[in-house]
Amino acid sequence: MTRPKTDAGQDAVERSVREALGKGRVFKAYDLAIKGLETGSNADRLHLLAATALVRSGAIDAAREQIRQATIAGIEADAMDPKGEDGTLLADVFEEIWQSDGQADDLGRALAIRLHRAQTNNIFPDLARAALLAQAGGDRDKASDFARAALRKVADDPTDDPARLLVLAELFLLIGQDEEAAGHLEELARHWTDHPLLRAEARQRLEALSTRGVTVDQSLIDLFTPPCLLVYAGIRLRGGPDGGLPPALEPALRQAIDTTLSSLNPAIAYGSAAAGCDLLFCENLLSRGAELNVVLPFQRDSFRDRLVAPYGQAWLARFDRVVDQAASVTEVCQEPYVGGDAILRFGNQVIDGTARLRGAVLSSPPYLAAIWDFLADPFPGSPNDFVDNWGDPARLRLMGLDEIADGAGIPLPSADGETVSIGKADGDGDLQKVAGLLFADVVGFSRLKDDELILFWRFMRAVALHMGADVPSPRIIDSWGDAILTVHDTALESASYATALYSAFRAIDSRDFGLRERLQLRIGLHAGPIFEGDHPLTGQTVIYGGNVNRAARIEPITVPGLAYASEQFVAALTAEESALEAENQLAGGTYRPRFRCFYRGTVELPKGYGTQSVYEVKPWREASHVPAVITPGKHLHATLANELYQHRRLAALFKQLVAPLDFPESMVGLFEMAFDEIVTNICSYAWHDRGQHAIEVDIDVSGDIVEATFTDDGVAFNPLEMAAAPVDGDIEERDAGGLGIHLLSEMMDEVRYRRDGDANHLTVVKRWRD
Amino acid sequence: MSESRANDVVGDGHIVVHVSGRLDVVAAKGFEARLTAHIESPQPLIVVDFSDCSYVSSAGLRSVLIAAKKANSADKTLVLVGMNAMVREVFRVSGFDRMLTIEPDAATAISLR
Repeated sequence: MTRPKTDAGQDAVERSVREALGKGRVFKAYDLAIKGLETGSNADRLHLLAATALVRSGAIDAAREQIRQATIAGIEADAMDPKGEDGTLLADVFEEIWQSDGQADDLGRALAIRLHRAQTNNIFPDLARAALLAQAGGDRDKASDFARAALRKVADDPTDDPARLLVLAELFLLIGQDEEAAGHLEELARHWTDHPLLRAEARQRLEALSTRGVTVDQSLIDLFTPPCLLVYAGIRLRGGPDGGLPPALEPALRQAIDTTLSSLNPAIAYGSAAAGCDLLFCENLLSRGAELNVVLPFQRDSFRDRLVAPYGQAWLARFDRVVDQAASVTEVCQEPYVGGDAILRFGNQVIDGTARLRGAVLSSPPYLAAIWDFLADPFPGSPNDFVDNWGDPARLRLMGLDEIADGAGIPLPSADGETVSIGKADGDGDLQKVAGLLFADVVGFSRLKDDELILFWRFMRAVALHMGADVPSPRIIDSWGDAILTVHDTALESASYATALYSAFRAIDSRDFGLRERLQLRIGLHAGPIFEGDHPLTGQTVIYGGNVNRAARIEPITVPGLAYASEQFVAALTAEESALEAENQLAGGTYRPRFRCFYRGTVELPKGYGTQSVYEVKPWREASHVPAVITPGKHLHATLANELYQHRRLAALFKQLVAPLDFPESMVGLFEMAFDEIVTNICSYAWHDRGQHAIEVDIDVSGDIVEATFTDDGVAFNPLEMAAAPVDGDIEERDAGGLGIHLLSEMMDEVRYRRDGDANHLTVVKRWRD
Repeated sequence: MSESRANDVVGDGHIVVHVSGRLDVVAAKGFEARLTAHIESPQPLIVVDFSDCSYVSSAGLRSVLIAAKKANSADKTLVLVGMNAMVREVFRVSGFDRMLTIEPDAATAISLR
């Protein structure tokens, strides 16, 4: 394999891709790599860098395709060149794919390259990676051999980076030298006192070692206790001489805040900065050295005019000081306030959701501390509104205004409740409403000629049929060519609509309609207040506003096949789901979030829209990550999620189970079909809450008999009592109910049902050879 | 990605719809949408070719039934061809073989029209 020589231009491309990756600009890195590939050589390296960017953007399949192309270019052989840089890159990509996808094959590939390099190069970085990967792959002997070898070589590779301490601790843990590990971790904890993200990473890595069978003392994990995360909400008060809160009350409020915050000891906080209680929270947090993140519902100057200035001049200086010292100041909408209360509630939702997202990364769900008047109306944007929608009653610290006022011996001041106080709509124009916005287009549409366009619309008809009636219908849907814009009332509805669109595009192949390419979809999601009005020319409803423009700009940067969303969308989605959890808890039910959001870096938006953080929105699939236990030829235990496609996963596991037996192919197909019917049946009838649940499966092979038992904790349901489907009648009379159980009884030798406590057990038995 | 699947073929007066892999609960919805969109097209004969299909579950049967009803009311002819033994058995056990037209292969179905 001859590799093209790199020239200065290619080096520059590679450098710029790496720089973008280093800054978390994964989309930009991908674009640069693809552009580099179009212009010329050094293909393998750029394919691998593109793959790295894709893994980090969530596009695992696309990353695999880039690796495949690099492998075609000859990199596989090169990977085993111990000095070659491509090998490290390839091993890293496989490791990242394994971390997000969990497939043992990918870990195996990363490990093979690392082991080879470690043996040949015999230097610390290669040996240490090999040891840790071998441990992850379950090879304890190799892991400790390489850990010892790495520790012997560490002096040859000095560094000042404290992260080295973590690697050394991991290596010591692998060889059971806990005291050495503890020493390094204690030193590391001191270095990383003020780095919550790094502390969380250390904690997660130690926990990962522990779940993979390495003894890690809890006291070591506790060195990296997650920081306390706080959301604060303060009531706006009137009654003071210049409009703000009564001066006599301020010391009592400060005391109450200080007592509550001292007990929580927050390291990171999110909230607004209106005059009065908000700013008292901010000042207290700053005095403790906490990381204060100020989130303003709209443009900062407009906020200052509306929510600070009317409460007295003194608050202006305090606001400016807080904003100046805050770790970050975010404007939820980069627009001035134009009236209405939608934007205030949305501001609270974004505070709530942003804190929860950060909490998810740091393994530390946020607390809410609020000063409130429990008798006040929960008007949008007020602490009462916040408290009502807070999903986690155990993490709520309420300070009653009546008690505080009572203690200070002054009469209860009036809450500045009405939104009127910050103004009605300035004009008499349209009012803002919060909306979930979806922009979609079809990649390759502009290349379609008229003959294909006819077929395109037939394909889109199939897409519509696939989406069916159970997707939330948009309040507004507009389309031009292949572009689709939908407006929903909530982010949750937009996310559901996006998921339905994607599954239709995945399920239906445009080539079946005579199109030359398999068409793919790009979706961008955004949320925020928008205007709705009637178009003077067409008379149709139109939407407009800064948020509409922003939404339209998120979509062109996305990688096809995945749904990307703005930070505002993801925060709103997270807050909506958390509010649903709270609501369901009150009603005695449970609600499990339906979507997960992954931070995927930042992008520069075109036309002066600045940078935007981008997240990938995915339906939650939790139980599918529980690894199965297989003793080939004998036993299989698997935990399935209650999702319809999970029988395919079980079918693949079953093949591994029967691999050592000479199971006829047709018999494998028969079991696949039986599993399909059973899992589908359980998913359809066991639970009524659309939440995530687990189905436990045990399959035993003993002699000629296969026995499989499916256990779920859903409502009691005996499928054998379902009315048998009539197998006669003509087309118009037949419906297909009950068919699955009928087929199952025909295929298996025995089908049994048992209700035991809160669990359903369905067992099927089949003799697989005579 | 390996691409061995056969795409649907639009011919003179007919469409051959290919079912590949498993027609299970996951595939059924897409299959039903695709088949319905084809039934809504002008071609009078719709041939569903199962020769690349390893098995059909009850959800798959349901989608075939729904499509057959739609074809009936649109005055279209729906013919199923190319079934392996297992697929054939599922149609027999469910009684579907008695109400749907089944032929050995696509060429036969088209020549009989």
